[in-house]
Amino acid sequence: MSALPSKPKPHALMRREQWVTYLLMTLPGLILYCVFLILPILMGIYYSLTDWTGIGTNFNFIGLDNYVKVFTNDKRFGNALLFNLRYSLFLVAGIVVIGFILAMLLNREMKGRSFFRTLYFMPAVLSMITIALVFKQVYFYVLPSIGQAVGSKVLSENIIADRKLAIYGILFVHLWQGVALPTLLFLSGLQTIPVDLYEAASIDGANAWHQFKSITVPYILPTLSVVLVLAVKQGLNVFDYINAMTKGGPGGATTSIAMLIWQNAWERNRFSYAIAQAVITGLIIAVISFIQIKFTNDRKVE
Amino acid sequence: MKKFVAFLLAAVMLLSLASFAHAEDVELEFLYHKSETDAIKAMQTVIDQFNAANPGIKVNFVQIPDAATVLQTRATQNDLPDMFGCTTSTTYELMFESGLIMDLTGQEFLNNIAPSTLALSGYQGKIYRMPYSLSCYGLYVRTDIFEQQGIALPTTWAELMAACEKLQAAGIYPFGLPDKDMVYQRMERMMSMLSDNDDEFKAIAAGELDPRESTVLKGYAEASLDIAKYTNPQSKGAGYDESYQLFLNDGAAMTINGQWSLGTLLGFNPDLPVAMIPLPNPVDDEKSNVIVSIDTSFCISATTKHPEECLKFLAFLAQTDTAQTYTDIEGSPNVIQGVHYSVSQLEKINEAMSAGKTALSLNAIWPSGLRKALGDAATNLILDGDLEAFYDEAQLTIEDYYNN
Repeated sequence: MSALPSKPKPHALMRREQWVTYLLMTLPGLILYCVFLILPILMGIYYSLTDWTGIGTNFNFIGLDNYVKVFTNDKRFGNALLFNLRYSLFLVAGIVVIGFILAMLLNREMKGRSFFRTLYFMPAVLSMITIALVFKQVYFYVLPSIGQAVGSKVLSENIIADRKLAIYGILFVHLWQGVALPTLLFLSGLQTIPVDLYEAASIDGANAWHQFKSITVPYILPTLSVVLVLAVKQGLNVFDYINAMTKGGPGGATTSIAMLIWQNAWERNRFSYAIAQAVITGLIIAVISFIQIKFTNDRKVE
Repeated sequence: MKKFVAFLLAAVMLLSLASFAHAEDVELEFLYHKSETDAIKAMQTVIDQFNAANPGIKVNFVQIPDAATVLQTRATQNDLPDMFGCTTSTTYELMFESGLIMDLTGQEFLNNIAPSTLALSGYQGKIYRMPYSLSCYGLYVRTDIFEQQGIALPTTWAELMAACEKLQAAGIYPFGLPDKDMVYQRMERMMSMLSDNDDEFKAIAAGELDPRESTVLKGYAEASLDIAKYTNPQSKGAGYDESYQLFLNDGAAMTINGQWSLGTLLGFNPDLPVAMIPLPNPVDDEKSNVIVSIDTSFCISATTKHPEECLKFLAFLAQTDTAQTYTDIEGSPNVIQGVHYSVSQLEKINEAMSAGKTALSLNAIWPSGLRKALGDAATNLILDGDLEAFYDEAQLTIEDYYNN
């Protein structure tokens, strides 16, 4: 006769029950995440190893050929990558600096604070394409007239029709809209800082700069980390603004990686090649995000 | 509970009866690729006529933005609509090659199509698409400005340049062009006028021809610089819409575009004094042809469950009176025999086309995406005027697209 199973201890039982509950609660999300995110990524990686044209079901497995081609035989990819890196750098700097300054200003006690907070958030609720199309018209009709009126040679011409300036034309629009959400994030980050820390610091004789450096910055770092990841991702994936304003022109000067991937897939019927480029871009974003999260994590206040 | 079950059963019976009543109706999905208001109206009209004349068959008209991308996505799922409209591009050839599209070769209704156009629609000796209407590309002229300046409509490149010179001297910008993102289209159409094949490009890709020796690249590049000298500088930042505004508001006496722009221009100003004429050939005056492209073709999916009904629909479209209705509303030249096409602003274009003075757009035979990539080189040429850089960039692009 086998021994009766020993009764589980109440503590262990509860843990197991809890565990099952947690599992059941997260299962739907996990399944959806796998089906809609992980599975397509795996399928994408598989297709990137083929010569699929994007049409029909006939294709061959070609190993890493597409990846080799991207690195050895594609000047456009290199150019697009450089464009994206440059764009991201400006975008991140712009978003962090402007967003942080705005947040500091909006965090002060002042008249009409709610009004200004709403005002600065307005661009975020508009559609990207709408804003890009509006600014396209501004650059064509309005800005050159202003440029001529003030006698500025640079502004007298449509800046998105100039290969050197087009990137700034797009960046300006992106910043105008893209800075709203980070400002909000910074603002909420600033509000988590205990006021008594500042009071204690000023009693100890710390000036504004010291307070900023030793209290504000460490406390804002977790927020900064999130903002940085979002901004880098936006910079490396930029597509909508470019497609609406320059379509990658003039003369390919604003062709971003996302534009190039789109062109390869839909205009050139090189789907598998486009996916290979997308996988590489994904890896680059992952690496950059990892480094920057690590960098900010090491310095933040626990 | 019983009542509820009884009610449910009754509902099911009624529903099945209703579906039985329509069981004979064959429904066909027709995906249309054009988004212009007139084109949608034209297609809807002929579909309504077909549905009314053919009880038992119902063609469902589907019109969505960016139909080509949707079609391509559905092709990957083997879920093509029963029938669809398409333009000319190598993307569709991939579909023909993959066996996704029904072979129409030998169908009787194809006899009603202009033989020259039908010959251009074949793929590897078979007909997979029924060509229907053409687009044509040429020179738009503000006739009032030309009359005021006492300039005759140019028929040769030298006359065009002389006209530009005179306009410029009178303080009028000769050209207003969509040069921000549409240079590739003008480049491709002008190159189509200079050659009817891509042999030179193949030779460049194979390293057998220096791009500086290519009559197509050289002819285009030099003509492009000629035009750039006389173009309103605002064109550099202009898309289609802004170039229309330049042309409409005296910012330019001429623009270069397709007949599809006429509707938009007249929409802004129905009394606009405008004429579209063949663009003079920069290299050979005798070949100042209208550049045409098969803008609309119809295909049937190879996997449709109702091939007979689909063929019946195409046969209906190929009838002269149906095509006439379509053309009258849609406004572009039709390839069905016996269809009359008369738009007063396009009189010169029609004359040239009737005389057989046409050149076919090379986009139909270039590798997918080449024209946009080569368009970058063409845009840079307009911005810098640097011929050498253009040849180098063109060479790299051609090599890339032909060898990969």
